[in-house]
Amino acid sequence: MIELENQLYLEFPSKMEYVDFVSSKVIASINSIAQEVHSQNMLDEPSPNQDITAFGFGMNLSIDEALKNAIIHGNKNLSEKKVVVSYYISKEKLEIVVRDQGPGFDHKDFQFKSDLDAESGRGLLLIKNFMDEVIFNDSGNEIKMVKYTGKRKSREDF
Amino acid sequence: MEITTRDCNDVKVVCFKGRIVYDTEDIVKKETEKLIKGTIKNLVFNFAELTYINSSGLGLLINILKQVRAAKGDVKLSNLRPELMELFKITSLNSVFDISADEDTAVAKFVKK
Repeated sequence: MIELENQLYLEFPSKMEYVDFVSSKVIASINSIAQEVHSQNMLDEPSPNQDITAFGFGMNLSIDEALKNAIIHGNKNLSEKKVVVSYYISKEKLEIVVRDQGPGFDHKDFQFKSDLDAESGRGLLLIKNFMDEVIFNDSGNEIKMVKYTGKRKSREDF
Repeated sequence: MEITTRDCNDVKVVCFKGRIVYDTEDIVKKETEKLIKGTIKNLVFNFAELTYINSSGLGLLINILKQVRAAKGDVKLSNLRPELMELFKITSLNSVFDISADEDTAVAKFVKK
């Protein structure tokens, strides 16, 4: 049996037109690796209980929002500044790290906007809802988003 | 992203097909600008085939809602997919937008007024 463990590292300029492409690619890469390992293991020793779940809407959205925050708030839309996205996937969890080259922000005192009809400020709120853990580095220019595969919610799209 | 419209008495039903992302926001902006200038300002956005929206897209929808209301019209939503409905709940936007399960119900809400 092959243990699922894989990493990816991707760097791109701070341009909003790359966000959708990069987040879709990361998701596709994660899902195809998980699928390949699963198929191989099923060939070796078929076991109907080893279910594989594809990461979908919520994961795509979380990556999308993190990349957007990195470009707009972190790198202030300066295309010469880079955004780095990496992931690590194992049987137990999926970790996605997004880092920008900005000064960071005060994530400890971050307040979600209370105005219901505000036109921005919901990205982090969405990430926190879809992920199991959200961890920032000290300065706040790096976000780590963790999803545990074991205690995945019953949601089909996750 | 494809947007099609059809009139249903004094209500305009606007069907969204595809994904609202950075690259398609302009299409949504352009199409809704036309609607706001039109005579029928009671709008039902049918999201049956809208498969993806992010926080920027939600912001855009709020912006559209404000513009339509300023023009004495209103926007009601219908046919949201479960994952989209969840986004509206997480962000409490289900209390900002009038959301119906199906299009007929949303249209009827305008007629009753």
